[in-house]
Amino acid sequence: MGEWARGEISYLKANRAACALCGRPIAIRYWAAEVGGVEHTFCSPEHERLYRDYWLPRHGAKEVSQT
Amino acid sequence: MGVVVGIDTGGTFTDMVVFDLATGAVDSLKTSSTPSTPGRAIVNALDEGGIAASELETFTHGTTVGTNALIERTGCKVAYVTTKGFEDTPFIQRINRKVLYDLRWTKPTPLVASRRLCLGLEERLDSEGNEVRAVDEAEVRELARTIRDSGAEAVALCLLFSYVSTDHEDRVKEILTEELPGIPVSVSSEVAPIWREYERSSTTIADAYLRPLFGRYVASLDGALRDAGMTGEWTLMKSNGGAMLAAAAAEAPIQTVMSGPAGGLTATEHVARALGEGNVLTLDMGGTSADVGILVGGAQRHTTEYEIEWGLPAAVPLIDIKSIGAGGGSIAWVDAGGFLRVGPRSAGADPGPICYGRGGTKVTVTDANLLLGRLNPEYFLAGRMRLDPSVVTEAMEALGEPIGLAPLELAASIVEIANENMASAIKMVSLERGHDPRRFSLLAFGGAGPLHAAAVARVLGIPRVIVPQHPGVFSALGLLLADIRVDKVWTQAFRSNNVDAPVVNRQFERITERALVELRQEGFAGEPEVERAINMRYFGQNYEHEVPIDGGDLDDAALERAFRRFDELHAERYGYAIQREVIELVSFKVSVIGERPPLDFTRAKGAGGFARSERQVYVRGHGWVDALVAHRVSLEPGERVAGPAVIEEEGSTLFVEPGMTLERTAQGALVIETEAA
Amino acid sequence: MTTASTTTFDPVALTMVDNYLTSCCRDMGVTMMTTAYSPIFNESLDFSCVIFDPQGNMLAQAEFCPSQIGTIKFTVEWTIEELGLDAFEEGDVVLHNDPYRGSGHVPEHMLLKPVFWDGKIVAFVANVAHMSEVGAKTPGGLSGDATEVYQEGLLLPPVKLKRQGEDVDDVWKIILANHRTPRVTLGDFRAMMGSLDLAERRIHRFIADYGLDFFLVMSAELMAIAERRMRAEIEAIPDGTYTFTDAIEDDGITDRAYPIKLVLTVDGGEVIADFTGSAKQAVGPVNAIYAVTASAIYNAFLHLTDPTIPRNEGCYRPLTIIAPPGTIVNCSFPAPVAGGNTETSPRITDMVFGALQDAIPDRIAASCGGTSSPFLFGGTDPRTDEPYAHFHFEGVGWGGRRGLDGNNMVVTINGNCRNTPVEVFETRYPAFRIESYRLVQDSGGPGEFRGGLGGERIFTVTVPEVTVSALLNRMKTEPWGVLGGGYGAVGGLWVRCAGNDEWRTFVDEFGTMSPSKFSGVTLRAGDQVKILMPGGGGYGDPQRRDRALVRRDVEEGFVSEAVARDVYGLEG
Repeated sequence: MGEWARGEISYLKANRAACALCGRPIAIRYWAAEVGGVEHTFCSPEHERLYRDYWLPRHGAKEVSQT
Repeated sequence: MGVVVGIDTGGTFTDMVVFDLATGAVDSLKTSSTPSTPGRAIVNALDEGGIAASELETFTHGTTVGTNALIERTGCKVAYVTTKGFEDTPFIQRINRKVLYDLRWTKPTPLVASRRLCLGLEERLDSEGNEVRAVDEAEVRELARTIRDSGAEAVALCLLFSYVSTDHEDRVKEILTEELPGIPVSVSSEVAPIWREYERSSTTIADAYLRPLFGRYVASLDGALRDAGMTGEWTLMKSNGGAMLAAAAAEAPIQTVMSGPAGGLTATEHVARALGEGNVLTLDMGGTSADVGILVGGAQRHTTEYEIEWGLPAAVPLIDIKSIGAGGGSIAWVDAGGFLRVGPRSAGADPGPICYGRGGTKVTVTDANLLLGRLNPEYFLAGRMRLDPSVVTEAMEALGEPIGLAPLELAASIVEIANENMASAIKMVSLERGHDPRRFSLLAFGGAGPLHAAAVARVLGIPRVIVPQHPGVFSALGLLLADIRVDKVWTQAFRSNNVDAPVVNRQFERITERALVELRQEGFAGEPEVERAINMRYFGQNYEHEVPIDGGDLDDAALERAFRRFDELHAERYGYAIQREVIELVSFKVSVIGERPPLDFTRAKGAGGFARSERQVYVRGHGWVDALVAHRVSLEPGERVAGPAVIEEEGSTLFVEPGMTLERTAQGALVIETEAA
Repeated sequence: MTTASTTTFDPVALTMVDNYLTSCCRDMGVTMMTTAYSPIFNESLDFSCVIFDPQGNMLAQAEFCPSQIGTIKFTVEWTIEELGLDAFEEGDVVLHNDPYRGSGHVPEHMLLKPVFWDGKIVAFVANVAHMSEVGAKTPGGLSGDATEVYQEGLLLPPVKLKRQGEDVDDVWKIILANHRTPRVTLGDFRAMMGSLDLAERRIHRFIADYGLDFFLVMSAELMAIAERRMRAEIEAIPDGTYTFTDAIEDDGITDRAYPIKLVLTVDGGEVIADFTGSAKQAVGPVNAIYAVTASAIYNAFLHLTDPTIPRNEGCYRPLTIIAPPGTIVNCSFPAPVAGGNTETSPRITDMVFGALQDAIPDRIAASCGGTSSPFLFGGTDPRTDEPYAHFHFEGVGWGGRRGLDGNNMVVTINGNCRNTPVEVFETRYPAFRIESYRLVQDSGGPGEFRGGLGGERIFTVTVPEVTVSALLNRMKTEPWGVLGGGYGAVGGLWVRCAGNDEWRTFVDEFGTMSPSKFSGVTLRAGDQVKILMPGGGGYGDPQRRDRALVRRDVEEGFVSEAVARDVYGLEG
């Protein structure tokens, strides 16, 4: 089960975290959830669901979480 | 002494107003329009009114002949002549689209006959009017032969940068006229001397498109009037609110696109002056559309933003009137999402609303008003047409069922949506230009305007509604009052830090002279009024505002005053001015106005003997309420009536909402105080 | 459609609120048009005006540029999240254009203003506009051979341009010191702020007249309706998986194509658009950021559904876009992005139509010309010594549709801008005289319903020198047809230097890497440039086209006799 979490905006680091499903860059708030033993960052619980139901059957697990 | 007559031909009805110069009596009449032979309705109206053409002292006509030909695409075969390389301008247009997200949308088809008749000439001016390539006379004559062989019936001529220098267009016109006898040539620098080649060409093509047809219309009507014994000249109403001699209008038909509605605003100006009202919004609601206009400080506002359809501009000077598809005949429907909509489609005159009993099956605003008790089935058009409420309810049930509205609530909703649509149009001519409608009065006319005006005023917070005398034929009344008006424009850009005042003064003098000559030609003998204005913008902007300027030669002080006035106008309209910014002077405009002698319209010829009664009227939030029903002539000067009330008269019905009070003024106008409650 | 019958909303009030907000957006646009300084604003209308709720949900839009409308949602959301609602004070105006914080590309500047009522934020009004000069490596931005976003102009993260109604002078100074045409920048920002003020006044008036609760309830209801209607429309598309592949032909740096792969999954009322398998991000400026790709998908589905659905956030909810980071459809910092918004965006939108051509043949169209043909130039006006810079763009032919030919020369599907009239162009920009601007015969893809025609424009340089850049597309790969329809003609960019007779590519004449994407080339008096605009793809087999229409096309010069004979099979 995931939970809402907050990152922070840094002007010293330009690379951003992205949603593990859709790839959208995350500003501050994100949905943190463990899927298959890996901690992932999502835009929303809905994207966690789609990661399980849509992504995994088609593309398999992503190796590293993007944070 | 004879009579002065104004006749306004609309889509549904032809309205006539007759002013007897000897007695001062005013008479009016509504008769059916005859769209296939538009002139016949005019002769019919004169006949029905018992007017002999020989009695006509002056006759002014407002017509939709030009507008209809544009909308129905019944104009002539036009050849388009332009600078070589730009023959496709009428097809390319401005490359944007009317609606987003609609793959079925199709670009408007230009009014030119064929792409093969869009012909280029090897000539060119630059942006300052300097010649890059001269006009080749032999090439023009060759091109004239092509046009002659093609069977084109009119020519539209629009060369690049002709708004800066007319030299090339003048020369080409001269040769074409010589080579093509009997084929009218519309010239862009005469029709619409504005920058932006697409807008100018579209306007010029539209003018050419109407030339033969409009010329024939004027000639045939003229013939009919002459045959009937008329001896004097007659005039046509222009879109700018001025009248022009019929013969001149025949050569500039695009000037008549808003001929009818312009009459309404002209009458408004007159009535507003008589009542001492400076700020007036107008609501002219007829059978198919509602026209909304504005007077600020007693003066009409003018614009050049007219479109034949979306994307096909006709940029001629016209009174700023917003026209929307909200008339008595506008059809109510439910869209795919379950939203109730009203208009813009109309049931027209035939079959018309369901209650006309002519086979109409679509619920209209008039049907809704009838169901709500606001129209008298026995006294529509003074009893000349009977309305049948019995057939309306069933159609209302069918329409309202899917969205859960019973017939009465549906009828109330239809009226409310129509009112909202009109209120939005009023906002466009007021709020959008920085005018708060709460500081205006609402003048309502047209067959249906007075029926809706109180509610529209309430929605907008307008404190007063005025219903003038003769509301049903008010636009025709305006025709009797139209001044003769000639506008001339000279285009040349200056920056505020570098104005060549002597050149400007010379040019102002030149265009004023030309305008005065035309005014004389149009039959005006008195002392004309001259108004001057400069179109200005901040340097960099592409849209300008008309800044009125004082009379006399312009000097530095006068210019400085004009620049500060521009700052004020900009701030008024957009909420900010850019202090000390360079201002660009774009064009210089003169209007010469030959005023008509004033007429007193208060002595309506009317019949008495109308008994007052009561009728049940449905009002949302109140349910069925008892409303006083009275004929207008039965109201005494100064008499006050509390709403709900229905005031009937020939050609129009007025509804006073509960909580509002109506007063008949000494001059004869009816005034509703909307905030009396 | 009976979705409405189950609901209890007041249809009259909803219509009124939707009309009010939409017309408010339109009026913001009128203010922008009439008061702005650059022709790209006041003639081309390359801007969009939008209203949001305090959570960043889009409440209303109008007939502006679809790519901006879809993207601004991300820009606004990012801005609100980064700053936090508490940071907004009444009278503030926030400026933002950083693509790596949710903007579409660097020239696109967003201004955002909170609307307060009784001390609380009740809405945001925003506009996003393509500024003609942003301090990129070459005048006019959109430098066709940029390799980093830093070369594409001054980056502005969300910063306040106004604080409580007062200009923040320090920010103004930074911007005006970095743009080549500061006077125009100033005039354009004033116009943008004027339109925000207008929208703020309108919303205040609305709430004063109808009450805050009514405003909030109605706007939430409008979004719910839009979502319901959108789902119902998507349900009408057969469930299934649909694929389509197209490519961006080169990136200005290397001569290779970047494929884009789209897999659409339609499931009930929802769609997943999955770009997994698309090319790695390009070195040059053809990359789309995530917001641009998402916006292009929104654009496609809004085109495929009922145009009367209220256009707000609810429309987007049924659509999920998967775009892997580091690809051409979701590039990672600091890749250049200018052309993603102008070129890659329409490609993606058209791909949706291509994917669904068999599923919903009545609703789709063949590919449009799919490029804005960006041609940038700048210099100093020799008459006045004033600097100028311009982003010039062109229309394209649109694809054929069932029953209808494609439109000739309309701006590509991601925009809704107007062209700059020749008379305005030459008055404002002394650098060129325009020799011709016309339709090109046979450029529309053959089909039962023909693709629209593209065009051609020829310029002559009339000043001693001018710096030009370009970022065109569809010069190598043609716009495709559907259901047996043929390709539209490619576009192109050609140069003929003074004294030469023949048209040459910029590669041949100036040694640029790409014929269509480069920056900073100097042209001199008498040199000529020719832009060719691609045509639209055809729909259906050209042999089945109504013979009368083929003959009319020949008479009107849209199609040559040879093509009528050889491709359409016209006899006699």
